[in-house]
Amino acid sequence: MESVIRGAAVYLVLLVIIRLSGRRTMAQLTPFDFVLLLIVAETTQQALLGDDFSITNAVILILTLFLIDIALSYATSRIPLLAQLVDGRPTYLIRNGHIDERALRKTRMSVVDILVAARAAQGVEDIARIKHALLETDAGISIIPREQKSED
Amino acid sequence: MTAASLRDHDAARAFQERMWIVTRIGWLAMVAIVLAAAFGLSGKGGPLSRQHLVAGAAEIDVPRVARWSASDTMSISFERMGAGEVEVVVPHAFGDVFAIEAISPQPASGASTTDGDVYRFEFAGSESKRSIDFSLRAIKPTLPTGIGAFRVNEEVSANASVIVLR
Repeated sequence: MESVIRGAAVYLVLLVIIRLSGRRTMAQLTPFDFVLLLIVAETTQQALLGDDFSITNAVILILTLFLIDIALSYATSRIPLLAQLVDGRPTYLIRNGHIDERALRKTRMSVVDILVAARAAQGVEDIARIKHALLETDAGISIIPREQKSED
Repeated sequence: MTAASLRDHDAARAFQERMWIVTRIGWLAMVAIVLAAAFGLSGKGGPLSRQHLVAGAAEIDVPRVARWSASDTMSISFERMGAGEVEVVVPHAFGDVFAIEAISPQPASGASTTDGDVYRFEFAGSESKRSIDFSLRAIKPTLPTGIGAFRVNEEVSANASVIVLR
């Protein structure tokens, strides 16, 4: 029973903390973010296992974590409000060519981040050629370029 | 490879349908295992992970399902107990499965006899609820194993058995 409770508690706490930390953490791993994730992983391991290194404990914990994940994915696919809370919604960083400075500030992104994504995904190097840029729920940036004019 | 064999994105729908069924059956099995664990069948908490024995006025709470190398507890409690001496005999077979790492309160004396390990405790003060707590660690994995009966002040409990999961 303790393994199930530990697994569920750690999953929920991590879900809330990662959600509250914002999307940038997942989108762009700086060296410090990477170190932070390593520390979190180590701390989580302590919280999950305690002094119980048995195979039984590991199996029960893994099953518990996977089942919660499956249940949550079912729940979010059926309850839109829960999906918004857990997964968030895509955020326009550029809409119809206009940069949303407030959205950039709130998501801790910069125009440089958008340009990196634009170059990587679309081969676009001029911000004027971006029609929409969206920060997706999976922490990626989608770039929708303006339609090419005939003189281009 | 032919062009047809390279285009595999819609070629195995029947297989995928079977896999979806297998996946759901797997989920049900996972739910069953986690529910069993929540009820204590994998040890470490849960109503089925403990066994309660009675020896006279003493109630003995012993692990029924334990985990190898993990810490566990055993307690002997008395609903009402005044000043006096309590003698606890822990069967030898119990010591073959569990290492006793700490006892609270500390016994006044301990000895190994043919009946088992004998611990004597001295209680002082007025009559109240008392308990003796043993900190344990399972030292080897076992299949369901009889560990014998405990004795508290010459009163004998029922035989206990334990399983230690790897």
